[in-house]
This record gives sequence, C-alpha cells and structure tokens, in this order.
Amino acid sequence: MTTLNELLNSKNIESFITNLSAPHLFLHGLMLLFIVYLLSKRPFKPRQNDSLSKSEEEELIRDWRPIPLAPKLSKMQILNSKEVVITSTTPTHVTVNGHSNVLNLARTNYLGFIGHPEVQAKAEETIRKYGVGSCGPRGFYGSIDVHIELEKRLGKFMSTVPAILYSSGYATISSTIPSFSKIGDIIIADRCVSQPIQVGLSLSRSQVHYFKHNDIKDLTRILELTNKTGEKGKISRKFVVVEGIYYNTGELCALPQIMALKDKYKFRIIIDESHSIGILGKTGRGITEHYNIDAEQVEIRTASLANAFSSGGGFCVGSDTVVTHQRLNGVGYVFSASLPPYLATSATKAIDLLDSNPDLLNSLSHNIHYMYKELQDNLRGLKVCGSPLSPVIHLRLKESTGNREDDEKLLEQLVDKSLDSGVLITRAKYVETEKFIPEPSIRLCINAVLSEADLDFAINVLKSVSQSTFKN
Amino acid sequence: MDEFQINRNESWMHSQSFWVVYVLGLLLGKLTISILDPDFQYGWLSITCLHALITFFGLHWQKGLPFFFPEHQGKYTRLTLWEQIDKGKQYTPTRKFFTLVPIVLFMITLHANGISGLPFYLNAISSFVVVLSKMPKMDRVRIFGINKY
Repeated sequence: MTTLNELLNSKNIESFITNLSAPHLFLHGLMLLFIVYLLSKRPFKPRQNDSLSKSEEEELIRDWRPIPLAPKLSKMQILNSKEVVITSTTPTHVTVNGHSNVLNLARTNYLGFIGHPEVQAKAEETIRKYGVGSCGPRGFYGSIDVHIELEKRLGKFMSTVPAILYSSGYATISSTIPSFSKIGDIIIADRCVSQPIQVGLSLSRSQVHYFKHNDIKDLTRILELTNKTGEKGKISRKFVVVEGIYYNTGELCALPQIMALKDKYKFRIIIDESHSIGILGKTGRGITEHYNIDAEQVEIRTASLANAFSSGGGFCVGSDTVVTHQRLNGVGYVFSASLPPYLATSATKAIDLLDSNPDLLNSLSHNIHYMYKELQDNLRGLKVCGSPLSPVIHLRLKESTGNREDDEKLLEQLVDKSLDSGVLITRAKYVETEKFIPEPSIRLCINAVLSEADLDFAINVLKSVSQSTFKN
Repeated sequence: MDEFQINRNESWMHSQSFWVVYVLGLLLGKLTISILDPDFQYGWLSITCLHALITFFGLHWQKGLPFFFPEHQGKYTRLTLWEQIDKGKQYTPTRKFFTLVPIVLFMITLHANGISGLPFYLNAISSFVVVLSKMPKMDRVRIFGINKY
C-alpha cells in the first residue's frame, strides 16, 4: 500500500513533473519511441530460407570427422573370422583350404544325407523343373506344390497337422517365439539355449527369465517367482523355452521333469528340436519319442531341416491353431522368400529315406557311443562334455588358464593341428552379445555314415594332437 | 497445434493471466522492500537489477529442457528458454510483453533513482543487457562463443 500511496501522493506527482529535466525527458522519450517501435513490429520467423555461406560450409566440412562404418573388431572376432573354404565334399570327407580328403567332424550332417545319391538326384530333378529360387514369400507367388507336400510330409512324420515351413532354420525359432509371446508375457528359458533362440527371446520383448542349465530346482524357483495371481496373472501367457539337445552343451533337456511342473504352474512349452529330430527316439521323432511323452502335450515344437535332414529351412509343428497363427504372424514366414524348391524336395526325400531305413539311427547312436567311450579317457587336458546320446560332443579344457582368450587360442591350436593331420573340427564360436556364453570348447558332430575306420582315425588324431598340445 | 508438439517448457509463458501475476509479483517485491525498510531509496533499482539478473540466467543462459521429453528429440537442447518461445518466431505478443517489462522497469528506476552516478549506470547496464539479449538480431547468437555448448 505504501507504494501505491507514494505513487498517488499529490506531492509526489508534483515533484515528478517539476523534477523532469531535459536529459530525463530525452531518455524517457527515447524509451517511449522504442516501445512504440517494438509494438508496431509484425511477428516473423527468422532463418526461413537461410543457406550457409561458402566459408561456413567449408568450416562444417573441415570439422566433420566420419565415424567408421563398422566398429573395430575385437580380439575374439578376429580369432573367429578365420576362413575355412570347402571346395569339394563327399558324405564324410571334404577338401578344405587345399587339404584334400579331410574327415569332417564340424558339420551337423547327422544322418549323412549330404551327397546322398538319391537326395542329389531328387534335387537335380527339381532344379530342372522349377529352377533354383522360389521368387517370393509364401504369401505372394512363392508357394509351390513341393512346399505344401513337405508341410504335409512333416505333419505326417511328426503325427500332427501339416507343419508350417520356414525358409531358414535360424528364422524358424526366432520368429516362432515372438509370434506367440508378446510384451507383458513371461518367458522362462534355459541359460544355454542357442543363439537363434536368444534372438527370438529378445525380439519377443517379453519379460525373460533364465534358469540354470537343466536345473529343475532353479526352474521351480523362477516359476514360483513368476507365479502371479489375480488380475495380472490372468492375462500374461507363460512359456518355457528349451532345446531338445542343447547345441551349446550337448546335453539332453530334462523334459519329463519339466512336464511334471506344467500343470502346477500353468505354462506352455516351446521346444527347439533342431539337434534332436532325426536323432533321438526309435524312429527319429525327437525328444518326446525318446522320453515316451505324448507329443501333443508339448504345445510348440520347432526344428531346423538343415541338421539331420541335410537340407535347408525349418518348420514348426503343434496344434492347428499354432500353425495357422504363424501363417500371418510368423515374421520369418510372411516377410521372407520361401524355401528353394530343391531344398524342399530333398528334405522330403531325406525324411522318406529315414522312415524307410531306421537302421541309420542305430548306426548313429553306435557311432556316438563309440566316439564318446573312446574319447572319455584318452584325451590329455580335455574332458568330454555332453550326453552320450547326443551327436554334438563338446571337448572342454580340464584346466582353464583363467583367461577366455588364452583358452580359445589353445583350442584353436588344437584345431589347426588336427586339420594338418586330416580331421576338420571347430571351436564352438559365440556372438559376443550373447547373455550367457558357455565355456570355451571344441565341438564335434558325429554322423551316421562314419565307418569304424573313420572313427578310429579321428580318435587317434585327437589323441595325438591333444598329447602334443598339452605336454605336461 | 498437436498435443505432442507443445513445448511444455515455454507454453506457460503465453498465458495472459501469468503476465498479470508477473507484474503483480514485481509490485509485491517493491512493496516488500518498502515495508522492510521504508527509508531505503534504491528500492526500484534493486528490483530492476534483481529482475535483470534472474531473467538473464533464466531466459538467456540456461539451455534445453528441464525434463526429458522424448517427443522433441533433442531439438531444444542447445536453445535457451528465450529462443524456444513460439518456436523461434520473433516479435510475438509474448516476446513483446517480456521485452516491455525491463524497459518499463528502467524508466521507473530512471525516475526514482536519478540520471547520474552509480545507480544510473547499474540501472542502465542491467536493463541494456537484458533488452539487448531479447532482440531478434541476437537470436541464437553466442557472443565470443560464450555459453556455446
């Protein structure tokens, strides 16, 4: 109020007027002019079409430092990028990097259908009829009768409705998981699942929990942890993702124990049988046949056709709903060109061959057992990991040097030496971004067409190589 | 304007009721000074200087947004609050109002505290700096690179 009183005081106003000297008036007048100028201006937007001057352009160009197109390779990536060039192949032997007649224990040709004369004849016949490509996704012009035949054949083989066929084994599981599990759903996966599954898990954007490898107690703990009730529990779907035979460890999945938990905790099972179909079970139907579990109890089963059937692509089987849902929601099915027809026919042929000759499975399991038994005690510095039923055998260091890089280099030496002695083997290689990278190992893949002499040769080479590498 | 294009950092400055509150706030400041010390003769000068100091740092020094708004994708990160007003449009009513305030304050102080001596120079310099910073010519100009990044 004081201020207002001061302002309104007649004395003040009087002195205000009498106090006004010439400089005062001048400054006030200037300010008033400025205010009028300010108020009379129209709004405008600066730099409407400003272009850079020549010197500014040059300065910008001078300052610009391009970042490298690809990041620098890490030491592991350099180690993993060694080239192995195969120039010719028979079912068991290859010519690699100039070494001819090398026994190949690095590829997942479990039933030995690579180079099988009947499969090759079928593939040639298909190429002569359809050409090599299928020219489009299944939804647009890419569906050929051989795809539908293969889907029906796969359905018959797995005794379900016709399967859904993907054009790559890698894309199968990595689009099946995201097509069912979405944001807000819960996935519980084994820590040792292979890389395509991990890609699927991260693409699904679901809440992912990992349990220790084949550890049912840990799985139960996590199931207990995620066992939500009430409003939230009703809407979230829950999946357990496992592999039939773990490619990263060579272990079998403990499916019966998981099935026992299924009703209690109400989850669905997604099982990737890429390395167990055509291998486990009396007739090669995979892990469910091996454990005598009703296959319909497992909701979603996927597998790659590139391993046991030595073709390409992958498939997913389950109920009719599971398959039909993926025809519009499986990203790898909808957006990628379909499987080349000759791969489809050679896969059909391979399945026919397996069905007509189940002895292949006996010779495969015989080879695996033989290899497993012989390697068990005869390798110096290496231990044999995995199940004696699995065609994937991992040789890990008995005593680690404590540094992953050194371990890998040691194993790489072993690989190089054995290639010189005539056996092609490989280290298990992982992408660095994988969440739980298994210990370094050498991965052997056994197949059904190896003769006793081949196996003995491989064992002898591995023995001598390990003895020369681990001297003490 | 679409909801997501509104820059919540400056949108409150357009409200006329805020202008009224702003002017009342200045008067309240002067009133407080008068109540605390009725004989203090540099009341208006302190109001002008304080106002200049606060608005200079608030409007012309501090850059970016106080909170993370993903929809703006960082386009205001290197702009002061004054440069963000009306998306950089000049001589808009909001800008005119906020330029008028220091001028009027200058005129009042000029009258109250005379035209010579230290009070005049303080008054003139502080007002000059804040008014100059508000001119269109100074938009996105960083003199000698001061406060550039």
